[in-house]
Amino acid sequence: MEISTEFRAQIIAAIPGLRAFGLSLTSRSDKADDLVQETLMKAWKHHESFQQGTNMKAWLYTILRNEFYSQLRKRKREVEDADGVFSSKVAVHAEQHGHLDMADLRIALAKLPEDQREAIILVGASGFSYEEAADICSVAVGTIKSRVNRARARLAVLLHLEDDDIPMVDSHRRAHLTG
Amino acid sequence: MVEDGKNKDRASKPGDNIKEMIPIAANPDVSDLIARRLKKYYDEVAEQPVPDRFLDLLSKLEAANDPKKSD
Repeated sequence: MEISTEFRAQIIAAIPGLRAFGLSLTSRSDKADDLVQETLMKAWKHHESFQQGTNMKAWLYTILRNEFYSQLRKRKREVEDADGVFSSKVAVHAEQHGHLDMADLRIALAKLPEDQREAIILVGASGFSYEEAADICSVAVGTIKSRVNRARARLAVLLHLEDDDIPMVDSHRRAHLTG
Repeated sequence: MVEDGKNKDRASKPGDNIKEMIPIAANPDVSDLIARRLKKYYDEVAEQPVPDRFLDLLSKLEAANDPKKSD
């Protein structure tokens, strides 16, 4: 079956987001791009299973996510062994990154459980609705909402964004919030 | 049927885990700040042009997939 130019164009349009999503999952840009490559190959191979008119972006993110978890399962032992090394690699990357805020965020994201990390990235950065994110992760919408909230709460702590540290919070509101 | 019920049960109680997290997650200033930082982090990669590596890959896949091209 012939692959349409529209299919190809839609894949290309999704690549930047896929790379960002991959980086969020892996914290490593080389691994992220390997994931994207696998995703493109799988998408191409299984293009017939994509239904025109449905959400191509969500379809591709689902493939990337499945690929990430299947690799993670395969390399579980390796990942566990390298666990200590992982955080230091993240730190090096962060320094190279240059921006202090971004470095902090990258390290904080790496500390989140995978299910929370992907949920907050899909909803908070990739622009998916809760419903779409739930489809991508094959869980209920309520589960995604819960994971996003947990992720936010955890990031607030990891990034030291508790109420007192927020310069923009006016005192009335803070008093109201903290009761 | 039991397993089906389990899934449905999970889906039908979306609020259970949310409530316990409301103190921080519901603070609009903290949420906004995190949202902005996440978006910036993500967009730093998402706004980069598509690397040639992937365009080359797609061209190869296309060539392999299209027998007409070799006719």
